[in-house]
Amino acid sequence: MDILRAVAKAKQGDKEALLDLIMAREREFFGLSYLYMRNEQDAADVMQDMIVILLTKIHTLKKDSAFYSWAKQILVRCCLSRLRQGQRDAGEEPPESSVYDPDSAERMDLLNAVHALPEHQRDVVLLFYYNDRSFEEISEILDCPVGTVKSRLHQGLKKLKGRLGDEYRKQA
Amino acid sequence: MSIENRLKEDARKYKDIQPPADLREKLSLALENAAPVRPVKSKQPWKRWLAPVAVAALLALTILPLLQGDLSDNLVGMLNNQKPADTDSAEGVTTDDATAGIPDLTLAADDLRTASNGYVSGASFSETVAEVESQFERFTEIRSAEGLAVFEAHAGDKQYVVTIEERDGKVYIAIE
Repeated sequence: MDILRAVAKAKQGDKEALLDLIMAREREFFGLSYLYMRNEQDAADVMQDMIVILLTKIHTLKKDSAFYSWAKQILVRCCLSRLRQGQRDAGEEPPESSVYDPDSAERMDLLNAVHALPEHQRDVVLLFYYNDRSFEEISEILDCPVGTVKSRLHQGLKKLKGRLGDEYRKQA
Repeated sequence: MSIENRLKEDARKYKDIQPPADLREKLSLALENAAPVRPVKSKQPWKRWLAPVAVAALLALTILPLLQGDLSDNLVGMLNNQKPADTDSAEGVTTDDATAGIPDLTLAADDLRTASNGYVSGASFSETVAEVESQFERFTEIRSAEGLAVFEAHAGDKQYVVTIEERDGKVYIAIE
């Protein structure tokens, strides 16, 4: 698929072109969304939020070749927005249980620990380890300098090490 | 196992996560329900610089005429390193003022009136009289003697008394 041509079409309001752009990398986008939301339903809902925002904001994209970084940046923001909304609503309704698979709880252990990190450290750890993004890509997605990304990753790992180390000691 | 390796191993579990089969339909539905987007026309290159240039031109047209007087005065002063023009003590006007009108045939009577009253340079007594006569529609001599001429001059409905006098080889004019 010619990405630049598809982006140009999408900028003219071609919804199908935008859909093709996202579907060309659906696993990448869905995987990232899932890492944040931790269930399929929410991950798909966030992708719907994202694609509507992409449609309305794509004319502001200056560099067409940066479409995917920009789209992931919006996806991460949509995830954060949903998570914050979920936290606000938590007092009123119990959160829906995950519908992913039976051993979900077991494999969520480490991911849960990552999610318990401060937001900016969690984002970097998720993108670097779970979504295989480079420092430069994370810098673009989170809109911060590469040095900041490295620093946050270092702090996040240090914090995880401390927490998980404590858990192991308790279990032993 | 280090925390880095544990994270890498944990991440592998999530690599096989498959998007739902109906993801395309869901996204398509979201796009259908989204408000229609008006295609954005990219700005023509010339439109980017047109506005600033137009504003600059308008400002220049507004401000330059206001500054022109001061600027030209300053420039002339700077270029010529001029002293203030000589003032005729008797008449209280500069020689430039007085000479500006007389040799210039294009001056109308009113202009001559305002530009006169002073020492006339570069013209003899008779030349000055002839020049003043040519500037008015009607011209009546009141008094005439050697080196002195007093006239009643008319321009439109206005009436002037013109005195031309030669003293010490210099010609003076007064129009009242």
